[in-house]
Amino acid sequence: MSDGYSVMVVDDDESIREALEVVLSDEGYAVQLARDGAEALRLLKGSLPDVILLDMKMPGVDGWAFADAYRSLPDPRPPVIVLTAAPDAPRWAADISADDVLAKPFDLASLLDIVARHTTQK
Amino acid sequence: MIDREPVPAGQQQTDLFRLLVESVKDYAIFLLGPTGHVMSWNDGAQRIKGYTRDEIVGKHFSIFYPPRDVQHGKPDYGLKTAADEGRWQEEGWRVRKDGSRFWASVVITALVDSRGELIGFAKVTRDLSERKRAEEERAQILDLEHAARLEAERAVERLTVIQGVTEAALAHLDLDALLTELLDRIADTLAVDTVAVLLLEEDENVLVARAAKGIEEEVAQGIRIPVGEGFAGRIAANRHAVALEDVDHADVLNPILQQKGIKSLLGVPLIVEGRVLGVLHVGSLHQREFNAREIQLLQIVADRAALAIDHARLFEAARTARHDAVVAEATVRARDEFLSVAAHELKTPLTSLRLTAQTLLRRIEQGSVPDMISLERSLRLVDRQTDRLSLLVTHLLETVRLQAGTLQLERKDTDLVELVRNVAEQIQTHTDHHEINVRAPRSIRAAIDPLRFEQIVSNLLDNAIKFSPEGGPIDIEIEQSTQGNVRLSVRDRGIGVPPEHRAHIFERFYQAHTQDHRSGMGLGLYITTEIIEKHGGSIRAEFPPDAGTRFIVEIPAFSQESGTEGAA
Repeated sequence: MSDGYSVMVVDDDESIREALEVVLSDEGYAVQLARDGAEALRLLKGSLPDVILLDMKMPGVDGWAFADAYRSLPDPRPPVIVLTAAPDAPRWAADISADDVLAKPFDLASLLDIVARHTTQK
Repeated sequence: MIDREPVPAGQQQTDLFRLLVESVKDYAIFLLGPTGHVMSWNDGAQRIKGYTRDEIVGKHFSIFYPPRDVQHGKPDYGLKTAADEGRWQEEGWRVRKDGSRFWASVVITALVDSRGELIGFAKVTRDLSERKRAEEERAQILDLEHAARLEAERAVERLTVIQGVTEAALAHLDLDALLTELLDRIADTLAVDTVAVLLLEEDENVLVARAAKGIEEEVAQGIRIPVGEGFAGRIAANRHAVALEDVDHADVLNPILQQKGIKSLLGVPLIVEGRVLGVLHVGSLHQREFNAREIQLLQIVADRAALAIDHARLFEAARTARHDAVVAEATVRARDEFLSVAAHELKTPLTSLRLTAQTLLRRIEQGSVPDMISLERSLRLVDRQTDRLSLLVTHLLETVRLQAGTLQLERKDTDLVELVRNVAEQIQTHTDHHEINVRAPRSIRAAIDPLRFEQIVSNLLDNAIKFSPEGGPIDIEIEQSTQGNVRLSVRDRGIGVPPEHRAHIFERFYQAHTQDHRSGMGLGLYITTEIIEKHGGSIRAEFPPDAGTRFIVEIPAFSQESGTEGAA
């Protein structure tokens, strides 16, 4: 299924983190959770995931600030998929040159599809 | 009687001389006998006076004088003076044969013989009518010039006043500032002790004192004069000036005018494009008759003032309209932002609900039975998210109802301590890193809407939890404070509110932490405040220097009215 790929979820909402963790680990992904950009950047120093699911509006280091810091990391950098409830989700994704975008509330199939696409493309 | 004088020298010289005299045309030169009878005549005399030699010789010279002068004995006086002093001279009116008058210069010289005996008079008369007319014309021109100068001075004075009024009008678009300056200028110009402006309130048809100088009490007491009654009322009704020389004996309605000792009043209507705006009146502490010029001047001033007042009012209306438009625009913008925030807030729990539900479905479709532990975890998540959605929807509905004014309180005698403890316990179950402490007496009874009061407590606790993400104690205190009030305070040790946001936290849709994207719609405190105010209470926030926020609610334990309180 997922061949041991790993996914990092960056979202300040606990229910989103929890739901994604259940869904993705069910599919066989290794899941790392971060509640904001700062925590995500800390985790990235340890091990790189194969794909990052990034919420934009978060307290402290938000999606934009995370993207700024992330871009200065050395290659290869895993693809970033923006998850947002904002009405102009595609623009926000373009703002930070994200690799893909999923507008909340997304369904399970689109999520699994997009994650699979970005992990197998590597 | 002497017809021809004896000729002392040669006959020829005498004849020449007679010829000279007789042919002089510009002067009447003739002889009078000692009693004033005409003895000789020349061409000039005939031309000037109209009589021929034959008609006049032998007649008394008083015939040349107007009857009035004859009555006063002027001709005899002239002769007597000439006889006594040798000569009499004057300018005066004389009468021609045809009865017309002319202005004459007259010299009468006494003629005496070698023995000193008076033998008659030489009379020389010159017609000065032309000169007289010229002089009169000059005097008339001078008079006209004087009048013109006076008129010009008045025009300048009027222009100065108008200019002053116009300047005041241009300088002030604010009605009160405009009126203050106008009154000062009018008081100066007309040298009066009091000035007042009453403006018409059209819907009630009364004049209301709006500005006054010297009689400020008029405005302070909000003097109202019905149109058609009293001094000012008549001016407004009849649309023309009224001057009262003696206020004590006139139908003046406003008692302040008499109390102030005003003796005379002059008032004019303020009219713009046929609309009466009000009345302008001036008063004097000593009795004074306002003349036509002053009345006219005040009316001119009033016309300008009326225009300026009208403009200032239009400007005010425009400014209010602009302000309303700005407020409306801000409201629309706030609502749009709110909708966008609301959509965002609703989508988050929807996302986790959907994922959870679809995951369970997928497992079932794939034939794998979820284990009890993960099933319980999923269902708890579903439960929490539906709670969250339900709270969001409740807040939205409450806001709509508060805005529409349809939220009603249902007051019941309630034990507030029990209520607060229950809410605290329930909310404590939602968090494991906050410790909610309640400090309260055994019981406090109050007539409040228990459901709404629960909302107040739970909104404040939710806020305290939300804004202290690192956890820590949350202290609730409830006590009976002074004057039958109940005081509730909720204190957290969280991130507090930055000073620049503190003034706005009770506003609808306001979020002190939007920059942080901390979740919420900005409705909690707004709804809380509205419910507290409906209970007749108040809420304020304190920001203790060590950390966090303390909200303090004070509400009367028992409202003035009993039972259900209607909306607004």
